Amino acid sequence: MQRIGGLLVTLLAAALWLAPVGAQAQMAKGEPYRIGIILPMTGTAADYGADFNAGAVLAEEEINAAGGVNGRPIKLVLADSKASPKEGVAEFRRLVEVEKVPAIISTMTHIIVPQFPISKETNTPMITVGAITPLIRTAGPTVFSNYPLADDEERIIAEYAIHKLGIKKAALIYENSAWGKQLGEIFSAEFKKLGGEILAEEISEKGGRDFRSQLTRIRATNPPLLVAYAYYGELGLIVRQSEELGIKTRFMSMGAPQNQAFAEIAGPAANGFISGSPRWDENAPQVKAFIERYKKRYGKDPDLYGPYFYDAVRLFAAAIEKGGYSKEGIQKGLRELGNFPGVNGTMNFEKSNVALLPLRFVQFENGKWMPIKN
Amino acid sequence: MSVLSQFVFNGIVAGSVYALIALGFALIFTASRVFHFAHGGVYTVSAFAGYTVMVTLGLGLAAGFATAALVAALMGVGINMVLYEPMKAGNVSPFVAMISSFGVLIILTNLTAIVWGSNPTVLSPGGSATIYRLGPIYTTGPQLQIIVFTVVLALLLWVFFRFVRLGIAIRAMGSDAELAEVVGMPSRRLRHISFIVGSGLVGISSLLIGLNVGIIDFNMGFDIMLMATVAMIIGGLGNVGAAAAGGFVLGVVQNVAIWKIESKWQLAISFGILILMLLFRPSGLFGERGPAA
Repeated sequence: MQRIGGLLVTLLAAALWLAPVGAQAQMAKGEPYRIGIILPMTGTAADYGADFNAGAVLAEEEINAAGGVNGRPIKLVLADSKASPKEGVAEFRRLVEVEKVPAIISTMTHIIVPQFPISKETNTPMITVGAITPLIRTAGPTVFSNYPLADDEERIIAEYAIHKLGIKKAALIYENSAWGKQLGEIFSAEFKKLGGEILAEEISEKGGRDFRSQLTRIRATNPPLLVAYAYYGELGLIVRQSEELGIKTRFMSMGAPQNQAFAEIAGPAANGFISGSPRWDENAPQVKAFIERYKKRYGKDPDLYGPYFYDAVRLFAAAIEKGGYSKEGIQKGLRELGNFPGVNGTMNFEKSNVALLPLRFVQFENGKWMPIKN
Repeated sequence: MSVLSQFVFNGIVAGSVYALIALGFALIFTASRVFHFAHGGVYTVSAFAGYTVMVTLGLGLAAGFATAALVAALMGVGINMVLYEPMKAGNVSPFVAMISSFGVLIILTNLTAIVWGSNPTVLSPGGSATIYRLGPIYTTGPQLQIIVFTVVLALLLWVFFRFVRLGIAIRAMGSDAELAEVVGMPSRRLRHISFIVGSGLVGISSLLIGLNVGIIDFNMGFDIMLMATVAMIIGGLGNVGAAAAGGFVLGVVQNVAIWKIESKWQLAISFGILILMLLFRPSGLFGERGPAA
């Protein structure tokens, strides 16, 4: 009797152990778990929207092919923000009240900021992707971000300048927009906090083509470092015109110049330019595998943001599994996930609603961005 | 001191660019009295046409410039034939012509974005310009070319309108088209010639300026038209020399002001000058006295 009982227990254990494997082999079944996603599918940012969606859809397909969440499939409910704040707000409301989704992925600073109050009011968790405004940090308990914010990014860049490069004096030029000003102000504050001195602070107009007067002002201060925040076109011209004005300095920025057009516009004058951005480690096995799968599915390389949408969908799926398919459950699930292995790095929402991903620094050498060896 | 001389030089370069656009515009305005905003659109399209021949097809600098000039000339005279001449014949108010011209500028701007895309297009890669140092002043080959071309062109046009029969005829027609026709001047043909020459010049300028900046983009005509218009109002309407001088004055003031004032005020300074001019000297610094036509 004892022996039979033991055998039964063993068999039962084996069956239990095998069960999930058996379930995984077949497609997920039943009523899907629905997740809302608001992207600029038409309008001025439609190109971006298509790439964002590609990343998210890849995650949806992979999760469902692997058995879904608790055996049920997930389903993305796509809404179009048309890159307009008004549409973004209306679509958020529609997804929550009509489509009854308990979680939403959204993007672009001017779209997400007016969505924060609705997220709070309806207690709907949202993950913002790619937006860097520090307003996300203080948007309340329902707002999460799997992309580093400007306050983290520019602080780390300032630290890099002071500690790694050993440079204590810098000139600053930034785009005359909410985005550029924010980056410039955060860098300036963090740099000064670490004992650095800002020698000159200038602005560049978006779409401007002649920055010689600003750069002449900067030249007069003879800075060892020139930190520049602008779109790649203007950034390329700033570097090029600096050389034409005889400025000899080192340039530094966030991810904006990591682009082929920048390399052509700036030319060899950009050699030594250091760019720090939240960028995945190309040599990590999970990244290589992801790029392979993405290429197989879409026939091209992933863009910068698509992989973050991929991770956002997987984060929500994991949170549903952990905390249950409800607004409260998903929020709780995200906070209790611990270290979540995303394709862009490890994310953790225990202490903060913003995942702190490491910044990677690369240096421009003869037309290419090369990793910096420490 | 070395800084001031660089600011003045920056101003001369910027001023040459404004003057180049203003010259063609003023030539056309003198002849037709049309506020030809579409000039900016011609500037954009001709730059991209030149780019296509020079870079995409790799046919070289000379072919690029020839194409830009030709495309610009054809577009200019085409716009005159299709738009302005029928309006003139129908006695439509110049204000309507101006608004239609603005419409054409918008259409050409968007058409460029559709055909060539909305991202900046690299005309000359970084590092391709020779850098010269004249004492405390740094400059480049393309900048010197722009300055020389502008000065020579301004002088030629001035001589043309002062001393050459055809030039004097165009001016006469500009100040009184009806009377000119009564005395037997072929006014239609004169206007066409003005559009061909004024637009052809802006085609050449578009590539010269593009080679200096390094990139061209679909919005370039819009931005430059704004500054060229300010330059013309500062200089004075209806006078080629005044338009060029206005360009230089605007460029130099804009840049030298930055010597002591923060650069974020640069645009405000430009439009501040414009408002002061309109209030106290509406006919411009060097324009014909009396109310502007």
